[in-house]
Amino acid sequence: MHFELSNVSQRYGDQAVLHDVSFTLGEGNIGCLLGPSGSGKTTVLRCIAGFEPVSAGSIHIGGKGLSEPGRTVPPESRGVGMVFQDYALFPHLSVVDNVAFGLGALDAAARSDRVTELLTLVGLEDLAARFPHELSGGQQQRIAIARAVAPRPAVLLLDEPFSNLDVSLRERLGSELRDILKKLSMTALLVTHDQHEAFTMADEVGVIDDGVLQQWGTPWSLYHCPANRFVAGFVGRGGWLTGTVSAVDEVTTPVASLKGSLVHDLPVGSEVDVLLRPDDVVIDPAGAVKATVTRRAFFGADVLYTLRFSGGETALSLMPSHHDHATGETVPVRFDTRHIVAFKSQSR
Amino acid sequence: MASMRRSLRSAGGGPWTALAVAIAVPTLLPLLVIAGSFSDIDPAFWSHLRQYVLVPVVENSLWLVAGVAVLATALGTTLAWLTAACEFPGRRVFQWALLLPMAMPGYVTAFVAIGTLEYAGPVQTALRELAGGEIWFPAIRSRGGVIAVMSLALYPYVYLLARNAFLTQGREALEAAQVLGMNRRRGFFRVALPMARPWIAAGAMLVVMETLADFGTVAAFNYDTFTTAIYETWFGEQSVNSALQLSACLLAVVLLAAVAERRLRGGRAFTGGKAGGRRIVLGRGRWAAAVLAGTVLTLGFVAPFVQLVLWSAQTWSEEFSSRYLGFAGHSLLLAGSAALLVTTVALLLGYARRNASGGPANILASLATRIATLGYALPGTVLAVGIFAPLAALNGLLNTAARAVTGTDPGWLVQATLATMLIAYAVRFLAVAHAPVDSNLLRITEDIDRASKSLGVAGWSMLRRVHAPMLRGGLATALVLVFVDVMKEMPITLMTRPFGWQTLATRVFEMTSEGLWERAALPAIAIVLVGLVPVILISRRTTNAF
Repeated sequence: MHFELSNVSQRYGDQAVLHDVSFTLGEGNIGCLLGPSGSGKTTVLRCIAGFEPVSAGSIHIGGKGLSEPGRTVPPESRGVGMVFQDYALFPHLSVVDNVAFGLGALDAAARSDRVTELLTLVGLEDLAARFPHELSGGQQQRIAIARAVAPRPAVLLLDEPFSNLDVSLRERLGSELRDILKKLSMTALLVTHDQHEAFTMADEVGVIDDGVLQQWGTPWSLYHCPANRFVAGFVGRGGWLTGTVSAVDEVTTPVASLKGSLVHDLPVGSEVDVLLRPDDVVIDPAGAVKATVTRRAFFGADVLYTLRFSGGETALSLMPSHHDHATGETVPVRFDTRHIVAFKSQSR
Repeated sequence: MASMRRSLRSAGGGPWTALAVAIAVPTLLPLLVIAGSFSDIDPAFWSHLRQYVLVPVVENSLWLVAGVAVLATALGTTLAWLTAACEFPGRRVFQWALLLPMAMPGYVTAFVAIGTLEYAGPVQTALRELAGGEIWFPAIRSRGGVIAVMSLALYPYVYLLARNAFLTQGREALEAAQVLGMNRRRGFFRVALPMARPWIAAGAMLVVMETLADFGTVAAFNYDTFTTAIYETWFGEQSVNSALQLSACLLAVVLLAAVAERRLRGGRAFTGGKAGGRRIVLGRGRWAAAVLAGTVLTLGFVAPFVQLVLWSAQTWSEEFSSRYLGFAGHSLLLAGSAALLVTTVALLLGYARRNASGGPANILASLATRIATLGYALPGTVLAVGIFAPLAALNGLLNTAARAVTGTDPGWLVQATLATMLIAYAVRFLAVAHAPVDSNLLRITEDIDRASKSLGVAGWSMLRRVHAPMLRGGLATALVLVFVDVMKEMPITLMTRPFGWQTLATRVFEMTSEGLWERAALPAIAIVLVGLVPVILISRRTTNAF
């Protein structure tokens, strides 16, 4: 494995910030740590960069041990690149000099080749002579990336790379950034609180909360097979129904019986809460259950309906927008559950 | 290894905090000495003082402060509004030229005004010739004269800050007022002026501080205030303790003024908006505006400067001598070494605050920074007495001890050396150097450091390649400002210099106190020319901004 955190813990004084965090990231893969603010995700990044020591566990990159309790290779010797939230471009240096800053080991010709190559890659070769304050936010970000990858670090770390940009820019720059990193075959780890960013950018995502890594996996598995209630609630939208496991592949709820394989094994007869994703709930003339539309949110291609069933339970349904239903309308509903995400009921 | 580095880093708060505290000591020491001086009160001297000195001094000081504060604030605010928001003939030139009086120390404007306007001066002589007999002319050596001269020298502080306020508050607020039915005049008084109040109050505060601290101007006018009383008590009566006690009185007034400014500023915060919008094109008032700006500029800078040039030309053959070059050399030596020393100390203080690791160490370092930069509020005369007195006491102890050991008096002299002068300058001007250096240091964020380290550049190499270039502008500003302030400085230089040591400023004082105005011109003009450098830098910056 190219990049590995094993059982990393970190504490400030007697306050634990990270608890037993482990994950691996393969060479050339893009990973993402997703979590609410204060979850400890930035601390993970700072530990990897060597700005913080670890109080337990170890960090290895390319088989080389970089951090363990009592030993932290200093940031300047770790071969780890970093893109900062505010970019931290050097205001007194031009774009070229910023990108060339970490290339002291190369001779002048090789340095200038490398800078040109990177500026071309990020599409800013025309701005070489500019200074940071003359660039837009998106351009500053790309220069910060070029500067960080110029010395060919083994891993690139990105701290909330899009938080300083307009919402409208984020999505486009996200895919662009992914293309750039893939072209460079760069192993990268970014940190964000925005799941759309995480899903657009990353091959693998870790959800972190309260210093604990809740789940590490592909975006698909986080969405469809959340390991616990926190991940289920934090990633994607959904509603909950209470029910009983009535067979190995069936949960009976007051609204309907749901068929599908249980993601987490639970004995028959267990009282459970079932997660219904908006794409599990389909408005269909063939549906056997009746529901009332209480709210609709129009997203262009799709419409997100909030439905209420006769027993007062609610669910979300995401439908292509040519299914046009008004609030107050009664619609037939069918459940399309291939996997059932159910957790042992907390109330009983 | 890392844990060692970490424990070093957390312990690193220690030495840095200790450094910050050490830098604050020379500021704290004179304050403590002054406060401690009341343990020994000479009743006979104080009854004399109260009767013949304190009453006129307090009355004079209050009139002066009130008069200068009102006149300088009115001039500064009016001119700021005219150049910031209105259009009138010559506005483009006036907007930077109105800063030029900053280069003219009050004591220079003062002796030029007296020399030109007194009974035997060229103006009255010419008027008498025209009239063919005696004429009435207002006495220049009067309370009104000092107030006028000092206001002309100090209004640029208010002008600079108020203009900045008017420019940044944006015309939008004023336009909103107009939409709501206010005409421009009411808009100015109801919107623009209240919004600029914190800046104007800050400018007025600077004016009051400078007025209270002034020595050279009032000395030229023979107008007795606290500073001249301290000087007289120090040199005339040779009474150190009484000089310290008078200093305490002056400090109390300074403190009172600082509290008053807080009150005046009210709960308002400094706010800013985007500059822009159309200027108000004045009607017939545009000529009045041009005349006002032109008169202030002429009286505050052009006329005194021309007079200095004329007198310098008259006296050039006798005055431009090796002695003159000696004064100039001393001034350059003092100003140069003070600039280097004070800027270095400011840099160390900035790093101390930056590196003092969190918690109590950080709070202590911030407190030390506050105290160390307090010196700018201490009038030069107060500072000179407060630093000289303990050093003289130390000198006495050292000599006594040496005599006890060797049997002979070594005649050491600790006080009245260049080192004493430099310490006093450092205390007085540390704030001047600290502001630009620290604002640059704040730009070097922790992320900038981390970015550098993650690119393999750390330690000295990071200081050289990242910190030094980012600090260059602030260091240059600090050097220039301290250099010029020391060139102009009069009371500290006068009171702590080695015996018989002359600089350009003390030469001006000497010639002025003997009424030899023409002979004071040549040293004065050198001070003015050097003083133009920062004024041009500031005016370029403010003009480029708009």
